[in-house]
Amino acid sequence: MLTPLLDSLIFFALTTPAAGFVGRKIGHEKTAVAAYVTSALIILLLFTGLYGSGFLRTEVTLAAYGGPSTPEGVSVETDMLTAFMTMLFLGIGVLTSVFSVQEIGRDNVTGYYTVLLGMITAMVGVVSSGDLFTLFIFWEAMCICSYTLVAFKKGKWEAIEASYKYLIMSSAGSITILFGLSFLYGLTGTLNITYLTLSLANAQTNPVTYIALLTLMVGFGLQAGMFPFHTWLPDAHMAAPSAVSAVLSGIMVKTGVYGLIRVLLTVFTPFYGSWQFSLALFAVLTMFVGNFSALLQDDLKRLLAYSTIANTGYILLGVAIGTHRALAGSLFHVFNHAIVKAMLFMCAGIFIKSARTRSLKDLAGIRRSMPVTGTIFIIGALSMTGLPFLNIFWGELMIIQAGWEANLGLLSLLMVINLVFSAAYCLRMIQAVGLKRQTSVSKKAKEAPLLTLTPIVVLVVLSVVVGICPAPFQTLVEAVAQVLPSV
Amino acid sequence: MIVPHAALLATILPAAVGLVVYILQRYIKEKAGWICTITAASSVALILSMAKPVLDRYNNGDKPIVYIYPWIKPININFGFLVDVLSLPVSLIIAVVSTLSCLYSIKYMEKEQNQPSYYANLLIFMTGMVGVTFSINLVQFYLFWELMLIPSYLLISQWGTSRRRLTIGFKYFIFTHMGALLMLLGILSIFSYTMTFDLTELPLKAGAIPSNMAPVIFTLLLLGFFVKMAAFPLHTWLPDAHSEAPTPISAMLSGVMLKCGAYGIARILLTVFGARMIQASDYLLVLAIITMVYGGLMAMAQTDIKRLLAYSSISQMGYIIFGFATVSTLGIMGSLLHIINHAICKALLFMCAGSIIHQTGKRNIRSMSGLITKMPVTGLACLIGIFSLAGAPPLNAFWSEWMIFSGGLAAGKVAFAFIGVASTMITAGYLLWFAWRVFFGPVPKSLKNVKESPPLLLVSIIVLASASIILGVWPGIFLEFITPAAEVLSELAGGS
Repeated sequence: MLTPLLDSLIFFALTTPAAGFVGRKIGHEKTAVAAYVTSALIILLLFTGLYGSGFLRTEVTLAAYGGPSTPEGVSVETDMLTAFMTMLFLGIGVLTSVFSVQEIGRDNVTGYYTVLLGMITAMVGVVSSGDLFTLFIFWEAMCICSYTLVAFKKGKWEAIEASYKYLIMSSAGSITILFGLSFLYGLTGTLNITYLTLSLANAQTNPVTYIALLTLMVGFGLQAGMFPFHTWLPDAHMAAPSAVSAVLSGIMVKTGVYGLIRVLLTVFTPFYGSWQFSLALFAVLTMFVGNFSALLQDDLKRLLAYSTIANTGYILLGVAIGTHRALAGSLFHVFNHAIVKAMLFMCAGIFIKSARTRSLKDLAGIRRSMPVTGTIFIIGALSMTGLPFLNIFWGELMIIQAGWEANLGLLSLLMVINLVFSAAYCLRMIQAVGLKRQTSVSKKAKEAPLLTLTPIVVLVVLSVVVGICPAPFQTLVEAVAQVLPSV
Repeated sequence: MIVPHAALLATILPAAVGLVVYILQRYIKEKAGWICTITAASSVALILSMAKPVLDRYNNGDKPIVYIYPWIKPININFGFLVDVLSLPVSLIIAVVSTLSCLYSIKYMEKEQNQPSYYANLLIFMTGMVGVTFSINLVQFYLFWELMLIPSYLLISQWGTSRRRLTIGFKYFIFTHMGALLMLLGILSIFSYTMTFDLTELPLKAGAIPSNMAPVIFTLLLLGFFVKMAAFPLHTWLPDAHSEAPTPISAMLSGVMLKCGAYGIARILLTVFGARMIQASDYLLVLAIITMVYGGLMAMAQTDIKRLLAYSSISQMGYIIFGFATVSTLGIMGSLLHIINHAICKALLFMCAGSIIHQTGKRNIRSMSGLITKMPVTGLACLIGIFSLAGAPPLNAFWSEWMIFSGGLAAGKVAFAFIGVASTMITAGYLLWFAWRVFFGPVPKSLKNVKESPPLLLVSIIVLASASIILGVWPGIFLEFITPAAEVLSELAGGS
């Protein structure tokens, strides 16, 4: 038995084909499957909400399922971080599932929704794992689902190529993780996170520990889009259907971040001195590469993908700084970036579906033909710029602040320089979508139906609400950050 | 009698109405201008209603009016408003100029597209500026500071006058955003030493900032303010942005937005970093003089009427920096008063330029001549503005310029004060030459049929011109606030 949540997720994922079968019989396959998956996710999201608030009330930090955990056994354990990430995954999952109804075609709807739900299940599994072996199994399941989703438009060479590239790189990353895990197991005889922490803290310094540390960093960093392992990300995000890009950029990349946080800040806390510099270096390079590359793009989705890389850099910088406030800032940024990036990708998807082009040049002035989507896209881009009264600002503020407090003012300065670059490409998007003269392509575009607009409206409202009153969310991430040991 | 939550209302009301106007634009259409003017005017009224209590409190030795609304508990930030002798006059002039610009736009922008959204942006812009002056903590200060940026950017790049408007808007945005982020870095580092963002507590806790970090933080903040004020090496965005924006917005940008930077220097640098200010005094004076001279010389070389005024603004910012840099009571008083006076004069001049552009359709000074016979009201008002800025008594800017340079003498910076006074010759030079070329001489054939602007356009101009005269004759109206403010500031800064 896993956690009740995970059990139900697996159950729903496995029964989705049945819902599709019934739907096909009554002639409404898409409606049936979409409704099934969406309602399942909504119910579980509400359930997780209660579950998470229970944690807040009782301050339980760790709950084990399937009996007490042993060094040898595998286990599923949940804490505040799990609840936080799960809520984020399910929340974005619900909205994507609603959004997908229009986004994907008629073919293979059941397959799409099954894999989508499977991927969300696997991600929840990753964050619920109490030991690294279980984590790895869910990790692989997640990766396989995402390859499939990237290649969903299987008629296009672009999608197949991107998926193949992603498959190769991500498998290499997974193998690196496995390699690191085998070292850790060899050193300590356990993969249970709690026991691992204890035995590593007591163990003599062994050079193999550092190899394990490096391999895990690379493996998880690859999924997070960390430079120089980021090259799969723009291709995959560009080629995937926009709903899938929203999931990939919004939440799947964050499992890589989660892996890094869990491994570096729990298991390898005693080795803080040895990974801090390299992680900070990776983080700074990641932001610079992401922002510079984003400046050069004309393809809207590719631009957004590079912006995701840059934002991974900010998050990793917070982890590298390592104090409670920095970690809370990183988690807050994870939350905010998921909201905004999912929103931007969904808006991009609406533009692309209506105008049939991804080029910013051709999309010029599309706000005039699609006022709602255009305005929401602009608000999203402004939030991405880090402007106040919108959510992303607060996470960035916390990270920069933490840098100063930890006497790492240089890192804060580098991040601020990067924010200027990110403002530059966000402004390019705003100019293109909102201010430039319309092209013949963008004139023909039509506003999307209400159902498709619902998720982006929800996200934009959330973005503004968090921007105007960040206090409750800040309390939440501070509480989550308390779960993890800091340095 | 103070209206409850007066500061909150005065700040938020314009933005709230702006949003409503934007959302309901289909139903509002042409009425947007009037609705927004009335909103802005009520904000002025709210600020005015606080004037008397603020003075009374100061004279009785009470604390200034403070409104606190709990906001972000985890990092101890309140949403608050600090209304004292320093913030009140600055916010008042911001609100007044915004209101007049709004009124002026009704006629000036009547043929433009998307009017409701124009007015919505204008009001949000106003909220940003008023919010900056009333902010009680530095995070809120930054928030409003950035809130100014978005609408002003949109106003420039959406309603700009030439084809280059997107490029110019981009430049404006990036420059200002970069400055703002550096300022944010400074603000956050202040917090990491003093553990407070509160402007009323910071002067007392300034000692907690280690002496090796203080110059760094001081520089970061100064860079932020200087970008906004367009001080010499950071000025390049200004002539483009100010000449590109539609004229009422130019009046707001040049008239009051630049003053937010000056206000920042007074509010933060003089109170928290007084000692650094005195240390940096000589460098800042040099910079101020370079800014004055450079802006003046560049203004002389311009043939575009709005570009000339934009460069003139750079030069005038040099005056304000000069006054603050002396760190003497008289100099600070002069600078604070010049914030008010320059706002009035420059808004007046931009509106006169707008009136000329509106009636003749030309912007090039070379193609103008003898306009005073055709447009007597505009011409006369414009001359008042010109003489005032050139420092002719009894017009308003005479008083502040005089104080600024006496402040230099009071602080013992005799050489700087002399160079400063000498450079006002340049100011007088380009302004008078400008007046000569535009208003006097024979009327060319192409301008034979020019008529005076419609009354609606002239209302704002007349109001500002009379304000210039009134404040010239009775400078005491604002000095009643500014003198105590300058005394407090120079005492905190430890200057002479």
